[in-house]
Amino acid sequence: MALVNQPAGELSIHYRDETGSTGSTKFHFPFATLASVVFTQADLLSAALNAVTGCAIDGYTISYTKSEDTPETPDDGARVENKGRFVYRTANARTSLFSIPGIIEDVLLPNSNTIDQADLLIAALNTAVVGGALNFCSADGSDLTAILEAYQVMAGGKKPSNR
Amino acid sequence: MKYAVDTPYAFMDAEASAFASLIAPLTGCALIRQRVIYKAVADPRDAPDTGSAIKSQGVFIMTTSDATPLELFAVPGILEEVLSDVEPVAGYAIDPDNAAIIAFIAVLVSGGFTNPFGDAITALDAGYRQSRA
Repeated sequence: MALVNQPAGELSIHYRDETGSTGSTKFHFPFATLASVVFTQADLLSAALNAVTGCAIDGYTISYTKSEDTPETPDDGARVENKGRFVYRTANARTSLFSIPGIIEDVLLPNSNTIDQADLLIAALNTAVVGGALNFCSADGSDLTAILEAYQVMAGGKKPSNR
Repeated sequence: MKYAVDTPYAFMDAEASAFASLIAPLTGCALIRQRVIYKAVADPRDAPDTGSAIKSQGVFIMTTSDATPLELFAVPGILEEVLSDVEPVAGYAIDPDNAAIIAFIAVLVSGGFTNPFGDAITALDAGYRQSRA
């Protein structure tokens, strides 16, 4: 079992027409290409595309995807909609959050949807996220400084892609 | 999870593995995919041309370095100016001799772009306008 990269990364150029409708073009590049190189090429490509489209180019996304070659079997009853939501304070006095799908019941306080922050697994996660081994930040680039709250929530999932 | 925009892919890839090992015992779900995404947004945003339409697309079929796979992509709002005016393909075929098309293809080829299988794009094979939702 391992995460295996696809042969190519993906560059999506995003467009907007006169009516406000949006669309995109997908290009590919060798997976090993540095993002800084792809940024340069994407800027050149966007400039070239400006001469062949009447739409406005609003930006682009560069993505690198790895897939598990032998996925494990999910636990019985595991649901991605059953999420653990972790909300953190940030250095600029705002908040940032992430969710873990299929959060297990074992880390919830009894008869509650509150995640037990004293649980050893949860404590290890929070330690890594806040000034530990991981260097996550908020959407505006601010550091995550402390856990604010963590709770279970039922939130939307997606249809399986093989149906 | 979010990072500063100039964070190298290899750094995020390594941290994603560490993060996955921390959350694996917290979830009953199986990990199937990991994706690192960089975003760039135009600032300021340009105004689209009058009459431009996303669904009027230029479809480009490209040859690649591998004999079998090709690459195909569509450019929304393709301009009338880059279409051929030579019958019998006037008005729908992409003009391969148009200067803007030549420049666009040159960027694709010199920039090292590939098809999804990693085969390098080598040239424009054919192109046409199509109405696509």
